[in-house]
Amino acid sequence: MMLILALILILTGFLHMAVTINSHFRLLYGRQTLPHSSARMLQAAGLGWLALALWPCINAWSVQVGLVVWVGLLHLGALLITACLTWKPDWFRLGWRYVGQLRRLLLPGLQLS
Amino acid sequence: MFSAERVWLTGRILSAAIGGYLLTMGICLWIAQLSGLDQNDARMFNTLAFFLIYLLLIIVSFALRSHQKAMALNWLSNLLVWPLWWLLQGGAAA
Amino acid sequence: MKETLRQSMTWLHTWSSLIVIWLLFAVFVTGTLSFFRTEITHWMQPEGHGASQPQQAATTAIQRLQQLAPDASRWDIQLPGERSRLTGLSWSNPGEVMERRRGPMLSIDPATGETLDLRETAGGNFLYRFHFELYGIPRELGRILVGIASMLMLVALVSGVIMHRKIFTDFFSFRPGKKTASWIDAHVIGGVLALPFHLMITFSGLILLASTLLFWNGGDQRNGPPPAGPQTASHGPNTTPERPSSRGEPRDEQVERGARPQWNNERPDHEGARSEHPHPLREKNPSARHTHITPTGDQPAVDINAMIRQAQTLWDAPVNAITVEQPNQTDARWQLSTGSREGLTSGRNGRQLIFDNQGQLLENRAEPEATGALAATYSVLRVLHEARFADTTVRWLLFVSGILGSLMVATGAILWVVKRSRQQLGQLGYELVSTLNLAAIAGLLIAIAGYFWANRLLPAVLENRESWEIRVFFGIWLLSLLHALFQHQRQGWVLQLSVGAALFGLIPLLDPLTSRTGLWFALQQGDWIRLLFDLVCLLMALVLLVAVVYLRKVSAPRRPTPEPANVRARPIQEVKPQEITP
Repeated sequence: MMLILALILILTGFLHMAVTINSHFRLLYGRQTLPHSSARMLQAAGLGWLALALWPCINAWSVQVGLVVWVGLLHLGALLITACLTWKPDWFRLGWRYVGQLRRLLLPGLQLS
Repeated sequence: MFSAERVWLTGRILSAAIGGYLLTMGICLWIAQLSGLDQNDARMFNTLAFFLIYLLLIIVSFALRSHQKAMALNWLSNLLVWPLWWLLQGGAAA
Repeated sequence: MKETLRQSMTWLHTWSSLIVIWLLFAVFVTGTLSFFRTEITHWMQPEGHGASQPQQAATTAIQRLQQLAPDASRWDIQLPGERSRLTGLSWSNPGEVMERRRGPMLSIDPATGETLDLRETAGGNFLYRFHFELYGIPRELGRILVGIASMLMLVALVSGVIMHRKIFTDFFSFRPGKKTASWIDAHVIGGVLALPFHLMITFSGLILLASTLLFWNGGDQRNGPPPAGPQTASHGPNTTPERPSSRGEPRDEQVERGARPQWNNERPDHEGARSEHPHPLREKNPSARHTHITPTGDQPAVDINAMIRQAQTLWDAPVNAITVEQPNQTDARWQLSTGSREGLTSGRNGRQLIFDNQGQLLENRAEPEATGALAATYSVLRVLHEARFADTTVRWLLFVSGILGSLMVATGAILWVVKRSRQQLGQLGYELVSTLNLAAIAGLLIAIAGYFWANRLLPAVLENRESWEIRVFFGIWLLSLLHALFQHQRQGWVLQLSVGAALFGLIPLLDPLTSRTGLWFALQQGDWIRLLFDLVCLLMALVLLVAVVYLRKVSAPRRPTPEPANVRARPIQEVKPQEITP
């Protein structure tokens, strides 16, 4: 259970990261480019999600083993995002919409350009 | 087949591999000697440090621009480390 | 020689890895499979597939030992668990020294206690040994070769990172169908996405081989780093059997995982003892063994299940092994241990509980603490490499990372050829690399599949059965090489990958035919070790098949020249297969 939670958190984190990369950003927003400041913010948010995923790992395993599990999940998550971007860009869009909902839920006031 | 460039390149590869190994070994022995770790810890430290230092030396010796410089640096460092090591050992024994 | 740092690093990256890349691929694939060494051996001993999984395995085991060896000075019981489905029994008689590396003397059905006549097999152990000391050459030489390859791998990894311009921009990118660019992408994905794993596994692999590579460093490592001690038992020159141990091998891993205490008396030179537990009896009352030998005659009045319950509550982890010192004596000691561990810094030993003959808890041993930062680092690297800490979930994560690593190596090898296919076609070096690529990548996969087939098709009772399995493995690999010598262009790949797909794809059919239980029964029983093995084989076959179909579709019409540069147009799918070996 914790494993799945951690994986979801990591995927969320990597989604944020992927959006800051121009070629992937265009998948979502056509020809626009992402302003530099927003990119920074998204990267920070992505890192935050990734860090958050440490919690379920450490909770389900011990601190040391949990760290290893976390790194292993990072590998897996990055692989999944890559596969998704390559063959199923629709899923990527869907994922980004879910992230948007999540952000509105957590930080209702925040506006991203 | 045996152009000067190839000979130099071979020399450089050999000196990075063998000279690098010897130099790293010398450095490890030096550190172990100077750090005052007990034998077990020193052995463990050598094991951990060796591959990192060796790696660094290999990278450096291929990052340099000329064959001659890379080889010279390698063997001169060896010349510096090893005689001093013998001296140190001799001093410790005496 | 080269102009910029990036250029010289590219040169270093290319050539340092190329000269050992085929060896590296074999090491990576077999090493990745070694994460599931025990599970592979389980599959390779179908005689044990029918065994059921009762709650009372310990009671049954003790009853059996009472019949078999009531006078023994020590019993060892390996309980079935997540990674094995049989109970393993060993015992030693007074005065005998326990052979630790042989695995259990007897494997029994956990429920009925019936002795299982497992076939001899080289098992997962062969793949495991191959990945660090190869086969058929002197062990030290094998280690030196693997060590050199690992060092070059480390150099290649670091120079690869330095030469890579925009590591982040390319992070999630894969562009299929773009020839060279696709291959570069695949290579980068395999490398970068799992870079922490690659660095860890390569560096720790070197550390594990250090006793051979750093011969000047105080000689045998066994006297060296404390947490290393027992490991040398499996890596050291004197204790390892010439051949991979055969029957009962599944327990080896557990033995190594520290399920057994390190009180072996056969190695008094064992300085490493400071992080290990000395013999509990020797420590507490050294004379006990010799003075109190008063057989009680009765069966021990101990409730093993109560002890197990207590241990499980304390640890929140299953009991994997039970050791009884002086069974049936008044001073008997019952030691329960678990392979599951909390820390990585603590060396090999797991947690243990010691009970006396009345079932009273005498001692609760935590995982030993490392003696310092050095010892801790050292231990972390070893434990990580050997996956001692890993439950099945973590093993799968490591397995995925290992697959990414194999992907990186294989795509790297193919990339070299792809990049040069235009200028160098027909040149000796180019042809040599193409040949070796085909034999090392596709050939190894076929050989592994063939090895599994040999396990099932060779007669179950056969003199030197395990050597025959290994002979089949190398025989097939050699055939693949011979074939590659004559046909290493696209047709060669199509042929070899098809053969691989067929062999892997038919394993799930072969398995029910040759094992004791059918597929449906295995499912009912929940024998997931075997079912997942079949599933991974099937996946592997599927990926190989996709590669073959793609190869035939893509490259045939594109080039009118008589020699279509086969490899160039090959899509990523084609390489994946190698990695997904079970």
